[in-house]
Amino acid sequence: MAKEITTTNNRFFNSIEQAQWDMLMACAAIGLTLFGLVMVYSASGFNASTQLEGSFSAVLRQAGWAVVGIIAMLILMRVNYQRYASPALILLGLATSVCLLIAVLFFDEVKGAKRWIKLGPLSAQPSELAKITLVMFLAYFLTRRTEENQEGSFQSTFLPAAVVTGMLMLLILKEPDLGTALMIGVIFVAMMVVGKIPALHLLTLVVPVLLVGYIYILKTPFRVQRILAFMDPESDAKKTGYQILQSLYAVGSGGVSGVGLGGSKQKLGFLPEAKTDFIFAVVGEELGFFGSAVIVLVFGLLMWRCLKASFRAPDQFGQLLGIGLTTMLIAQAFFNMSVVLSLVPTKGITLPFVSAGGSSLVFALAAVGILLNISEQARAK
Amino acid sequence: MASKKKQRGITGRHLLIACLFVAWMGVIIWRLAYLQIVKHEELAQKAARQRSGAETIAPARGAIVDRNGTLLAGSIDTLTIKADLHQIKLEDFPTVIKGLAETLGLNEKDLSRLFQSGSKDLTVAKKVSPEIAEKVRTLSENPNPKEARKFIGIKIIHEPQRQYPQGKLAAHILGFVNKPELITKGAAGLEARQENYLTGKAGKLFFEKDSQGHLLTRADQEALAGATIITSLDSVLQYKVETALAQAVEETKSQSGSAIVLDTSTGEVLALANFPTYDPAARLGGKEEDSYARRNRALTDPYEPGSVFKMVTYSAAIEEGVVKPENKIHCGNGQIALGSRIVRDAHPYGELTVAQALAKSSNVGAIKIGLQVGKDRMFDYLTRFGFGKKTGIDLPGESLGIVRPLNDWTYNSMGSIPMGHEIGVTAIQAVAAMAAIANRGTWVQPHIVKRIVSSDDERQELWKVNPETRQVISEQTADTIKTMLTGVVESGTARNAVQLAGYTAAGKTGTAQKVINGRYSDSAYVASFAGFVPATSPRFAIIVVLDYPKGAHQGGQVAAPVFNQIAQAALGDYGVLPDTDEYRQKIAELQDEFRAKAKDMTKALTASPTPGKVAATPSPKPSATTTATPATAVAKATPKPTPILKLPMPKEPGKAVVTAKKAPETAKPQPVKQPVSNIPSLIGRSVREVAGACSRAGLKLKAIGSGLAKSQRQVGDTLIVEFR
Repeated sequence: MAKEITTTNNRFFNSIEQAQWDMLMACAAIGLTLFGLVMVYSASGFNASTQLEGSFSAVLRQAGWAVVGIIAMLILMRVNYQRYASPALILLGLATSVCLLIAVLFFDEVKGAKRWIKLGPLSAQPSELAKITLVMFLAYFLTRRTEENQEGSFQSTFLPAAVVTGMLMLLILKEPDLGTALMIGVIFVAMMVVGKIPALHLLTLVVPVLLVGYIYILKTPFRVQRILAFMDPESDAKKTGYQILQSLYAVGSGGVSGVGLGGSKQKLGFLPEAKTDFIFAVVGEELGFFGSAVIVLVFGLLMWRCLKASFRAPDQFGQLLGIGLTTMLIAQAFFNMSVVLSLVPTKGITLPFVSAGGSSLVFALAAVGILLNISEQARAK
Repeated sequence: MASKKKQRGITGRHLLIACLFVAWMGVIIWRLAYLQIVKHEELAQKAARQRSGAETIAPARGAIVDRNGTLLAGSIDTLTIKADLHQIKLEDFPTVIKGLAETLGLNEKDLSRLFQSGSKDLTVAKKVSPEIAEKVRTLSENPNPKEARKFIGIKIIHEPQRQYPQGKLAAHILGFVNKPELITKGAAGLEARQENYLTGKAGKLFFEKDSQGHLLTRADQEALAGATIITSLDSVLQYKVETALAQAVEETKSQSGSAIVLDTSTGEVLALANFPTYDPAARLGGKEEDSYARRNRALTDPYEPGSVFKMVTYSAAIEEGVVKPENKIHCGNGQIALGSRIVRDAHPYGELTVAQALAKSSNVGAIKIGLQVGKDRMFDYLTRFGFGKKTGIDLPGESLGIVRPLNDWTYNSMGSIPMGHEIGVTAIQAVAAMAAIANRGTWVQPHIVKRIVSSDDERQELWKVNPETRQVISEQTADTIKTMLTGVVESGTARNAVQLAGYTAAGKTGTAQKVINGRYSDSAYVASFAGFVPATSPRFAIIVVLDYPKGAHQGGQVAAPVFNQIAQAALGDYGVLPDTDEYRQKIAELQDEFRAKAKDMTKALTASPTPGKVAATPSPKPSATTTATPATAVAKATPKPTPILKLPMPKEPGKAVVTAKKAPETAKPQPVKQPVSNIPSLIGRSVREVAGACSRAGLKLKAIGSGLAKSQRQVGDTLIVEFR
C-alpha cells in the first residue's frame, strides 16, 4: 500500500502530461456552474432591484465563488485521492466540522435557521464541510474494517459509523436544516450499501429513524403543515402551500419551450428563494420542458461519469469515496428538483452548481475535483 | 491487498445504486413533462391570475341638453385618492399618513383613525384638484426608492361626477342618479329612462403586477362616454314656468302644482314643472318630504279634471252631430235631477247656446249634452283623446289615469263624467288632449327627447323621435271646439284672467273637488286651466294645475292667471306674431309707415347730388312690397316684427286680473247621496247678496255676525257664513 502511494505521488508531481482527465465529467460540472451563473443573474434581478443592490451583485459574488471552486477542482484533481485515507486528516476534518456546527448555533438566524457562519462579507455553511468529511470518514472507516474482514460486524463497523453519522445529523438538525440532515442520511445509506454492510444492519435503523422522524416531524407544527401542503398545496395557498404552489406555477408556466431566458414572472417576488432553493423552478419557467430536461440530463451525464469512475476506482477507498461524493452531488440535485416539482415535501436544499451560494458551489466543484482524480486513476489502471 | 481485490468489480449493490439514481432521474423527467406539457395551461393561467387584474374605468355619463344646446346635466372628471392597505406595511403607516396629511391638508389624527378602521380599501379624499393629485403622485416618486415604495398602496382614481349646472331647473325631467359603485346609475327622470344611452361603456384597465404591486404591463380599453340626449326643453321658458308656478303655489297656498307647455303641432314638451321641486344633485334623504318633492306629479298623479274635461264631452257631441254650437240648450236654471241626485250650477242659467254653455261652464249643460252623447260614445271619445292610457311620454312613472271600464259605469256616471268627475287624468294627458284640439284634431304623443347623438360627433345620430299621432276628431270639429274654447277666454270663466297683449287664447277652466276620505270635500279643490295660444294659429298648449289651493280656488281665479303669464312669456320668447285684429292692424299701419319712410328715403337718395355712389344702395324690394297692403301678407313678409315694432306688453299680465267678482264655476257631483250644491265663493259680499245667492242655489243660510262675508262653509243644505 505504501508503495502505491509513492507511485501515485510520483504521478501527481511528474506525470501530468500523461494524465487522462474525464473531460465529460469536467465539462458537465463547469457547464452547470456557468449555467448557474446565468440563472442566478436572471433570478436575482428582481430582488436586486427591490433590495437596492446592483443587479450584478449576486452574480458577481457567485462568479467569485465559481472561480474559487474551479481552482479548488483543478488542484484537487491532481491530488491523489488516497491521501485522504489519513486518520489524522479525517479526524481533523470531523473535529473542525463538529466545532463549526456547534459554533454556527451562536450566529444570527437567517430566515429562521442558523446555518451560516458569517465572517465579514463572507458566509459559509459548515454543514457542507461536514458532508464531505463524513464521506471521507466513512470511506476510510469501511475500507479499514473490510481490510480487517470486519465489515459484517454490527458492533465494530455499522454501529460506530452510524453513531458518527447520527451525531452530525443531530447537530445539523439543531440548526435546523432537515434537508442537509436527510442528505447525510442518504449518503450514509448509499455508502453502506456499496460497502457491503449486511442489509439486516441497515434495517435496524428503521425503528430509530421512524422514532426520530415522528418526534421531529409531528412535534413541529410547521413540518406537519408542510406535509399537508405538499399533499394539497391549494388548501392553504397563501401560507404553507404558497412556496410549492408558486414553484408549480413557475414550472407549469414554462410549457414545452419556456418563456425565454430572463422572462420569468414568477421570480418577481412570487417564487420564494428563486435564486437558491427554487432556482430550478425559474429554469423550468424560462427554458420550458426541453431546457429543464437537458439540465436533468446533464446531471445524468455527470452521474454516469461519476458512478463509472467510482465503480472502476482502483481500490475500495476510492470506490466508497466516489460513491459518497456522487451521492452527495447527484442525490442532492435530484432531491432539490423533486422538491421544486413537488414530488417530495419542501426541504431547504440547494441545487449543486446552479443555486446561488458560495459553500455549496465550492464544495461541489471540490467534490468533482476529487472524483476527477478517482476517474483518472481508474482509467490509468 | 488480497481483500482489496476481492472488493473490486461491479456488484449487484453498485447496480442497485445506479438503478435507483436512473429511476429517480426518470421520475423527474416524467414529472417535468406532466407539469409542463399536460398541466401547462392550467398552471400558467393560475400564475397569470395572481399577478394580473383588471380595473374598471368609469365612463363619462352622457350629457342632457335643452333644445338650444344648453347643458342641463353633465359629467366632470373628479379625482379620488384611495389607499389600499394590503400594499402598505403596518410600520409604514405613520410615514404614509404624514405624507398624505401634508399634501392633502388633512388632520393626521383623523387619517390615522381611518387607517385603523379595519377596512383595507380606504377612500382618503374625494374631488381632489389635479394639482394636489399630482403632488400625491409625486410622493411615490421620492428619489429615495425605499421611501417611495411606502406609497405604493396610494392610488389616484378618476371618477366622473354628475353635475347639474342649472341647479334645480327641470329637476323632475332630468331626475337624479345614484352611485352604488364606481359607475353612476340613473334613478329617476331622463337619467333613468335613458340609462342605456347615458351610461356609456365602462373601460377596463388590464394590468400585470409583481408580488409587490409594481405594474409590469398595462393595457387600457378606453371607456366610451355616454350619448348626448337632446331634449325639446327650452330652459329659458322652463325657468319662467317654474318661477310662475312656484309663485302661484305659494300665493294660493296650494299643496302642489304642475305646469306643462307643449308645442301643439310636434308634441314637444317645451317646459314641464312641478312644485315642490328638489335639487337633483342632492342626495336622496330618507325623509318623506324628499320623495314627495321628487314626484313628477304632472305624470304620476291623476286628479279629477273637472270642467276642463268638458272639451271631450263637447267634442263628442259636435263630432257626432248631436248638437251644433249655435243650438239652444236649457240649463235647467242651475239644476238637473239625475235619479235621486241633483247636480247644480254655480250660476243658474236658463236657455243658452251650446257655445255659451261651454264658455260659462254650465254643469247642467254639459250633463244634458253628455246624456245625448250617451255612455258608449262618451267612453269612445275619452279613449280617443288618450284618457285612461299612458300618453307614452318618454319619462318614467307615468300613470294611466283612472277611467272605469264601461261596464262599471252607472246611470249616475253620466252625471259626473261629462263634467270631469269620476275620472282621473294626469296633467300630461289633459294638455295633450288640449293640444289635439289646437292641432286640428290630431293628437301627437308628447315627448321630451328629440334626438340622441354621439358625444363625440353631434352629426352621428343614434336615435330620433318619431311621435305617434292619430286623428281623434275631424278638423272641422276641432276648429269648432277651438272657437268655442276661445269663447271661454273672451267671455266665459277665464275672461278676466287670460288677457294676452296682442294674442288670442283658447282654453278651459277646471275646478274639481278633491276626494278626501272617500267623499268629495267642500274645501279641497284642484284648480286647473288648460288651453292654447294663439287661438288663431296655435303654437303652445299649456296646462296649469294647482292642487288644494287655500282661499280662492277656482280654476279661473288661480290657474288661469298662471296660464296667462306662461303664455305671454312663451309667445314673447318665440317671437310669435300677435294675432288679435287690433294688433294686426297696428302692425299693418306701422309697416305701411315704415315703407313710406323707406320710399321717401329712396327718393331722397336717388335725387341726391352724388348719384354714382348711392344709386346702387337702395334695393328695389321696398317699392315692390309697398303694393302688398293686406296685413296678413305683410306679416308673412316680416318674420320677427317684435324687435322692430316694440309692441306694448303688459308687465305682469296675469296678476292684476284676478278679481272676486268674476263668474265662478264649480262642479259638484255627489257620488254619495247628498244634496248637490254649487255655491261660489261669497267672500266679501254683503249679507243681502249672500242671501240672494243662497236662495238661487236652493240653500238655507245661517248667518253669523254682520258686515261682509268672511268665511263660508256648507253643511248639508245649509250654508254657514260668517260676517265681520
